[in-house]
Amino acid sequence: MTIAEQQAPAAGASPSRSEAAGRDTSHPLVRFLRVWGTILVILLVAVAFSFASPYFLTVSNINNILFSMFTCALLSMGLTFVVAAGSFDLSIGTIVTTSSIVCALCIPVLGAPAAIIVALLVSMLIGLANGVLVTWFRISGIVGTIGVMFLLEGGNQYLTGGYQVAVGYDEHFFRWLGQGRYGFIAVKSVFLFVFFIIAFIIANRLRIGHYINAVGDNPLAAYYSGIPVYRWVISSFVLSALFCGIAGIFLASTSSSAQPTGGAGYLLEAFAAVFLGATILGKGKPHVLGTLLGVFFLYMVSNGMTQFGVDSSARNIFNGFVLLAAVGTNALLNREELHLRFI
Amino acid sequence: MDARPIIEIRDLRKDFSGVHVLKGIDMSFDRGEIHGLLGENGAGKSTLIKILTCVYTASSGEIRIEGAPFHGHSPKAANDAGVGAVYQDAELAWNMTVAENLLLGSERRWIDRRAMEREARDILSRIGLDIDPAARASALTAAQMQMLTLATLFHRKFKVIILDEPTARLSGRESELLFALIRRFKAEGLTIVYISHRLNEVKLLCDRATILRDGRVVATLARGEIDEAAVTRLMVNRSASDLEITNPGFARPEVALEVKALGTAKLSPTSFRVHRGEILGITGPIGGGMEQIEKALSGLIAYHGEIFAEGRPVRIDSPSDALDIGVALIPEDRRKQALFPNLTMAENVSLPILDRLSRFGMVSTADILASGRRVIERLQVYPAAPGIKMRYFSGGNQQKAVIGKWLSRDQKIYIFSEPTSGVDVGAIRQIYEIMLEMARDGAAIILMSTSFNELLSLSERIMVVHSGRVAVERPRAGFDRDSLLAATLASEVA
Repeated sequence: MTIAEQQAPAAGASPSRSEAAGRDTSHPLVRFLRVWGTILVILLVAVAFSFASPYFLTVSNINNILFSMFTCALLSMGLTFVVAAGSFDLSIGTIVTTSSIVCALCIPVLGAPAAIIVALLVSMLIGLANGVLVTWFRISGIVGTIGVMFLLEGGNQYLTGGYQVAVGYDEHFFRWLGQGRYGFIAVKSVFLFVFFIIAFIIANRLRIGHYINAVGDNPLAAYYSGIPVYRWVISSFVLSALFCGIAGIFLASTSSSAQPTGGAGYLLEAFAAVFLGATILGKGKPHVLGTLLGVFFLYMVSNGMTQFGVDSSARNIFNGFVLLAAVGTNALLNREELHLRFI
Repeated sequence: MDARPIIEIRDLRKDFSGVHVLKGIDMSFDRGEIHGLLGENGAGKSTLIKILTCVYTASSGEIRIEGAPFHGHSPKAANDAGVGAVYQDAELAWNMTVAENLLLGSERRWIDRRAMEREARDILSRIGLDIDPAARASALTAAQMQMLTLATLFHRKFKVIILDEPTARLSGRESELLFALIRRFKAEGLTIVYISHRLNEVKLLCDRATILRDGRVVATLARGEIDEAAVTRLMVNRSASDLEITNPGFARPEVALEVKALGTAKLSPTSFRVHRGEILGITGPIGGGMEQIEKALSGLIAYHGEIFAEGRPVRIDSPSDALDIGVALIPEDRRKQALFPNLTMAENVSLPILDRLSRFGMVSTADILASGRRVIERLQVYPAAPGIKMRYFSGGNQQKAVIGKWLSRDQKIYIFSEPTSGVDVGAIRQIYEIMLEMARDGAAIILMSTSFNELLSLSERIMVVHSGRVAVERPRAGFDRDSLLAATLASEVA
């Protein structure tokens, strides 16, 4: 008898959890909700908005949403890699600010293309520092990146003296990035799509994304498989910082200036989007597509409610409720035997 | 095929702060053989394996792999040399698929899931495993997880795979699948080192078996020579058989704990009683069902059947239920499951009685230190410093602290699981004396152990649990080392 033939009757002999595994025995509705629940909520809200306002579902308004979510989307996609690797990056908002300031300061000296490259290099260096701190220096991701965040905030204030850094109106190429549009479609919205494709390929088709996932899933198994764990954790921080750097450049371009605290507000939105995104398609772990949909949801709600003049307090309450409900039901649907981790 | 042994071990010695665990091991593993490794607990099997996989470094001696001297200092070095071990808890990336786990570390530049699943399917079918390459690792059965781990080592071209009690968590049928896989590996020229307490498995599977006793190789038997009588004779250490401690019998008439038809997913209904003052020894192969009793009584797994504490029917659905009815578990892995390494010794032992130490909701540091000092005095904990962090105490003193923690709460029923594993030799005797003293004071004690010395020294009755049920239960006087070993090794199946 081959092993294949013996396998079938061996399964299902015992009711214990590990024995019964292999098949999902839960109710079909539960299974459906686990995969599609969050997307269903997003669609329902979108349908409700489009009934309430004929303007909501127009190309121009969708473009508005994409345009406004650009910065948050880039931060969140970068953060997805760090969370997938099993760490946290709280410096992302400040890296955006630093990148935009470095870029705006360098443009008069080096010209826009070189300034962009310098800003991206600086961002990646910061990511490298984050990664080295949490690996070789053994500092937790939360603490290490908070430290870097404070360092950067101080640096940002020093560089700007607390005032905005303006970008000249003759920088046509640079301003095209964030302000150009063709008909209803903003250049920035197209770039958002391009960066999403790049992030998606990194996460799903290249070894770097694959290893980042493996390391985050079980670092010990990765180590024993001969995978250089530290290298991929550091890579995730560099990727995260690179996406922040790009976001910073577009932020400076959009407003033709760099603000001393321009990116600070995006940090918590990004975390909300990554964890909301983890529930999408029932993956239970961060993934780039989920993150993008998470950001889209947050900005769609904000856009729709602004149209009806709903107060921002109501908007926050709604967003908080959806985040808790999505993550909470997902946690309950994926019941583990014993839950004793509270981070 | 190369006729040289794949691994040669010469005069390998290991001591832990003066205690000699390996006293000169000479042995070899041949290419393409299944080599059994037998020995009582403490004979040095696991130390030997840990040296081979570079978890420990040897104190002296030589290891040659394919003729070349081998000096590894990390598990990764052993892996690179082609030596790997599969422990009972397989290490897999749980959220990734079978294919992704199997090919982890050898992916192509461009990740193509379909191609990976095809490649994985080829590898799996080559070694005769029917696992869906697209399934998530966390959705596999225990047996499939273990076999996937084996397949992973196979795919990485390991030359020597060490299996430590591989059938402990498997059913009879699943074990058969594992044996088929092991034979397939042998046919591919791999060397398997097979550690097990189940003699019939070793008889069935192994080409040779080496028996360790007291840190030395006593014999290497060829396939035909492996039988119960010979193995028992070789495994039992005669010099240690004159026991220094015996239990004179403190059992009182009152029953402290009675279990009627207690069963779990892996334990057939079992009934037994423990009297006050009695020490009931329970032994058997790992995974044979003994740990199911321990887990059920301490509220860690679901069970059916009835439990009576001092005659009252009770349910134990969580560790806090167990605490309330007076059951205290002293687990084997005390560092992880019983102690708080960064709290002080006094804080550790006073944790279960904080409610008694507090006045108006405030806990006094002086009272905590005082309770720490009481435990130190009663159990002779060294160093006698209640304010030192628990992690700085030795294994034996940590064990005393776990006991002390429950003693201060005055629990009625104590479940000891391998109470002397990882305890230095000097402290073992002290722990035995503490346990006997507790029995004399009226505590009911259940001793789960795989050390026969321990069972015979301490128990008044001994129960052997095998294949998910009680195989033998007799008073201590009905056993000697040979019959106890025979009862543990024997298995009714096959």
